[in-house]
Amino acid sequence: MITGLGVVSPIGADVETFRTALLCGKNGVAEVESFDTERFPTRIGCEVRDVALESSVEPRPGRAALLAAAAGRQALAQAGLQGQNVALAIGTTMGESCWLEAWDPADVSAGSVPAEELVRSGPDQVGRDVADELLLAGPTTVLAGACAAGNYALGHALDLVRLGRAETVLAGGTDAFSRVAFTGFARLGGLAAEACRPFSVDRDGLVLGEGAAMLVVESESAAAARGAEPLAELAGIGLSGDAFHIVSPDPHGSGAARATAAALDDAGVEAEEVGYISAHGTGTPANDRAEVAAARTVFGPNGPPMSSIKALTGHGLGAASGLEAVACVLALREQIAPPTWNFTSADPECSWDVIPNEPRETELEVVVSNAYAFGGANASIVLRATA
Amino acid sequence: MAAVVGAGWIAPGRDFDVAEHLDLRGLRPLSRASRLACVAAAAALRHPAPLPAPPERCAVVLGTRFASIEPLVEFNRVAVTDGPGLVNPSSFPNVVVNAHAGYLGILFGLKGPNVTVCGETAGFDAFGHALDLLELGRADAVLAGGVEAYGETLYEGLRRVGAGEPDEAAAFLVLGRDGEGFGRADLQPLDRDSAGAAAGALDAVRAVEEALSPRSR
Repeated sequence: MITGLGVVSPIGADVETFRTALLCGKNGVAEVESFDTERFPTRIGCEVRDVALESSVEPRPGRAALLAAAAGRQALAQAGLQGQNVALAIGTTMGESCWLEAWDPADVSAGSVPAEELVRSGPDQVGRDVADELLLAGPTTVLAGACAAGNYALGHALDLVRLGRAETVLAGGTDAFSRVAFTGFARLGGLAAEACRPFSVDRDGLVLGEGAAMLVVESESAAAARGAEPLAELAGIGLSGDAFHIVSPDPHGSGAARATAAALDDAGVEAEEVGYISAHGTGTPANDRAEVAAARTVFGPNGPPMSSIKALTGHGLGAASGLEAVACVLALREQIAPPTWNFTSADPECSWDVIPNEPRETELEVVVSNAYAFGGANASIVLRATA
Repeated sequence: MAAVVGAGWIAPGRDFDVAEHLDLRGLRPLSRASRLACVAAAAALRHPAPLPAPPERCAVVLGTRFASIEPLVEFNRVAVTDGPGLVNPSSFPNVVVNAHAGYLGILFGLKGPNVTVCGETAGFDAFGHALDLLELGRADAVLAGGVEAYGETLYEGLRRVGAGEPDEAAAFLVLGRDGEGFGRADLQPLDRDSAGAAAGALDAVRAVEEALSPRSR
């Protein structure tokens, strides 16, 4: 059961603001302020602004951990939890690359290695710092699942609860706005010039984002014992590998289709029961075509509607599938599917009902959220409405 | 319970140059950590022997703490000193930790769950994850293990924070579901000091290089 939600995103630093933005189309895109973009082919990004990131840990953790801690506080509060006996499963792409990005590489020589920053730059540091900030006493697992990391973390949380290794898990994903990631995606030709337009014929790439989303995942009995209200059920997880290419998805989407099918099987639901798909939907042509091909494989030509909230949030890397999981829980609660904003016209090569530009009231019992990462690592989750 | 159906490891010492043993054409984008992982994984899988299960049922779980740090240092150095337009895009995936497990999946055709765990006990965590994948029926065989590799910057950094002489190593077990037709094969780990055994594993990696090269450029 999911009993708590927390969000720190470019379109809202609490669940209610985030929810309103999804339904009203409030965009998080702006000129990047974190660093000088003069030498880059694009200048836009989705940054988290005007949020005071609290910390009670010394030395002060990096931005990825602080974003996650802020989201985690919201989720724990909603679930009525203190940190004791809560396990942590957290996904990230870049870890605390902020420490490395803050150096002047001209100083990087064998004689001037900023050693402390170096060992605090990895993904593992995020887990330690979030656990310390929130005083979580359960085991911590850091899942470096890149752009699917949030779903990996949620899946691990589900497995921990199923196998009886934990009663209550705080799970989600986080990433801070990274100059290195911005550079990498720019060099791969993946960054949009003006806007993220998933599934539109004129889309030209992703908009890099940042943020964190954390969810409380716990056994039904643990939730009942505290009187916590189940918001939705995390019902299944499916993982697969493309074994195709390090940065490009398999154009046939066969790995992605296997992940979704495995998640449905894990949840014990049929494809026909799915009412909405939260797409990975980065806004790159390669993703869109592979993703629609995968949906056709699993759901047939007339499958459920599918939308991408990345048009608003940008691609939050490790945070992305966490934010999308929260969006799915909200959709199940309110029986409203969030649309794909910025949609212009369909790409004939991947035409699908992508809920263009307007929220849709619809009956939702089961939803799927997909995430696909570098290395061809695919992770889908299934969420179900609670009675 | 799971059956151990293969094992391979390499702890070659810092003067071991993978490039001396391996035609890097096509594998050039791989980080040192990935290359060491490939060598150990090839031995564990007894590559090019057939996989222990259908490709879709073979998972990868890799544990590491630092595999992405040296690539990140180098990527950032080029981006800042030479300019973001001069960074080699094929070096970007190495900055993202899970690329290392991704390369293992690509090289050996493992299409099941592809998982990367990070932390100070990541190698053990990887085995724990692998057992969970098997128990929950998410895979029938898992290539599970850990890798750490260091360039100059990270090596110096670790020495400065009192980590002694950091060891480079990659080690994998291949775990199979019990009762699914897997025998309990004898463990045959590589001899830690045997360059001959390491070179044998490198031969195996070379054999899969052709499959990778057309797509990786």
